[in-house]
Amino acid sequence: MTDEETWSLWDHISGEAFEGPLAGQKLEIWPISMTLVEAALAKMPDLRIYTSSYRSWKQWFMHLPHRKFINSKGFLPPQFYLTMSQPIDPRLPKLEQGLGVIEGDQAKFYPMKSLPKGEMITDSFAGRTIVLERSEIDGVPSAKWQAGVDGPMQLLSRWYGFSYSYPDCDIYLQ
Amino acid sequence: MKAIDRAKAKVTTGKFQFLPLRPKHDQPLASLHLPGDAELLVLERGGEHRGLIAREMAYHHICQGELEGQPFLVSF
Repeated sequence: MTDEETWSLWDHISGEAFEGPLAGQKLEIWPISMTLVEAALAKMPDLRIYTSSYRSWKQWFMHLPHRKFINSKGFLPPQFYLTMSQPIDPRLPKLEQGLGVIEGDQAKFYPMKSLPKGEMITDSFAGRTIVLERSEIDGVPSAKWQAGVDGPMQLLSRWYGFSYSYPDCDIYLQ
Repeated sequence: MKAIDRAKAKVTTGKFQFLPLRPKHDQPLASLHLPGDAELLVLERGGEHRGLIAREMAYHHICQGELEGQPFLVSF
């Protein structure tokens, strides 16, 4: 993404500017959770929604590859990959979905298939013990530190995007 | 540091520009009558939560605003 003040280019996952006058600057980042309406109404019945009034064929068109994200195989048109400036890390299928976790300069990708529903996984990450589980309602994984109530920066993502932002990331292999 | 072709990056600043969502107001989720399997993004600032409809963000890609006096930018 780019800002309209300096036209610097920013990695929208890591929050780091990598080209332009602000190259090297980093935004504060924090997790954004994905969920289903059904799960949100159960957990946060008073949740309020920012809605868009924009209506256009462009919106309809862009929705087509994203009709379903959570637990989906996914699809991106071939021309999308031509816009990427480096080859996709071949260690996993490019559209593999999983939970990416980040702490400092360390990152790890937990493929969805390694996180079975109803099971709690413990792992070592960034020198600490991390606990991962998937929500019963929406199947979305989340991670917390075993000691404490919070967790590392995390996002539900696909391999091509996460490995692009964190090329040296580890992969959790069950 | 990534090497990037700025000419390619400029694609989205031309005719087919994605307009960021700049929310002016919000509505209760329950009042929107969305299907139970519709996907949401949920952000939190200063203890307050707000949702975004994923199918709308698939176009906008970015939502930029302020919540509880704190600026935020959500990308999707």
